[in-house]
Amino acid sequence: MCGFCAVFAGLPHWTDAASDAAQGVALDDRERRLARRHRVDLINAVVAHFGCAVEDWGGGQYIVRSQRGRSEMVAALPQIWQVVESIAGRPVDPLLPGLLDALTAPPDP
Amino acid sequence: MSYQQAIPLVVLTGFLGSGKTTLLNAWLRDTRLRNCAVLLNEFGEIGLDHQLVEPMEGSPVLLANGCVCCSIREDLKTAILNLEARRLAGDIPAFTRLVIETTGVADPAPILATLLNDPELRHHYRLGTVVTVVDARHGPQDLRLREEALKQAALADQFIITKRDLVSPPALAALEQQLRAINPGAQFAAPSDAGVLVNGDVYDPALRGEEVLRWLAPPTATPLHAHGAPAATPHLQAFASFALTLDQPLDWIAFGVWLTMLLHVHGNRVLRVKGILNVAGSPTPVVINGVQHLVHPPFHLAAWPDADRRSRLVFITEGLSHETLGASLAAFNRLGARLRPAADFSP
Repeated sequence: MCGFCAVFAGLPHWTDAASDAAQGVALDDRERRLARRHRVDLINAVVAHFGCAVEDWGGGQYIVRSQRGRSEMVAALPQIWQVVESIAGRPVDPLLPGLLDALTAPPDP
Repeated sequence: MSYQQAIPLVVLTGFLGSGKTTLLNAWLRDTRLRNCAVLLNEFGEIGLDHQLVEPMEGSPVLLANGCVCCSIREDLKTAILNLEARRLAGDIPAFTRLVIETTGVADPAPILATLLNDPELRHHYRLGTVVTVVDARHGPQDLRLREEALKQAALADQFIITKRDLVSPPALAALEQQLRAINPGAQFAAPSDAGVLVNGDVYDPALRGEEVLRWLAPPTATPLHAHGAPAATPHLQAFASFALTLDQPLDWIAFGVWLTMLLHVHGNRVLRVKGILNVAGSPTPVVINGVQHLVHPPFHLAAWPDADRRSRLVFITEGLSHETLGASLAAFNRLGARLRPAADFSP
């Protein structure tokens, strides 16, 4: 699905659809923004290992950027992994020991 | 239309010769199935006497970048939409439930993918339950040697063992043990029980707590081939069922990032993932239920079903170990806790 189509597809991904369910109450706008910011921070901690960065776009889409200037808009997490994988040229695997080491390393002072 | 109001779709599967059509033929005489429509993946030698029986034709369509479990069954989609159009036009009686009987060698995952991923179908239908029929005499061998049979068992919500009179009680008990090892959370129903097609929906609110406890009750880290039984093929020996338990509350956002990433790379090796999550900041649990690359909409339980407040996830995997998945999820959860914004954070 291209980024433009994704805007109109209206199919929430389960990670988005479940945010309210996960909290047990309906989230207000501020809480949604917080959750979105948190997700982008987490994604960036992961995709940095693959030479990419991700930005929120309008609270409903994401932009994936490579270090060489390539950028793509995507709708949800699965598409982020597809794009990062195509940029990195290797599987974006959460079981990679090197990735887990990087994620659990103490933050730079 | 809400998810709960959508028409439930029951997948009836089972390996070649397991007796699905014979069962269906008997069940359709039950008045509880009066308002069921039935889609057959193929017409067998046994004719079904029911006013709402339709054939499907064709093969799954594999999406670009997709694997078999994400392929879309265009034939299924067309058949369901045709039924829907005829129902709306009054050409056929209104139906409140749809049963799909798969072929004996079918992988049920594309049927579930079609239902969960197609915008048109998702609006009107939801997954009710997966019923897997297993032949008592040939089932044990099929489960060891045929990947299709193993996957049909792994995806089941309900098992029905047929041809029980052809084997001894110990052999029957061994088959039940074999099936529990493959899929600890599935229930067993009697072949005579037509109610299996109308009861036990995945999204029945009354059954949620009870169902989750059933998923989590069985033993963990069970090898899928029974001790003393003929060895499985090397390929099928890699399948395993185990439970991950997390003592710390789960960062929901980190969990979503982790699971989507895991399923992106290893979805074809994660046959099932089911569980109950203690989400940080939430007093009551969230239930998760996935089949390969697909995850059902998670739902929130009104209360914990037992005294255990830990997150517990049951996996059925091919070649993925308990230790590897556990270490990865724990690392993502720690990262989530470290990056989680403070309560007074103002974006």
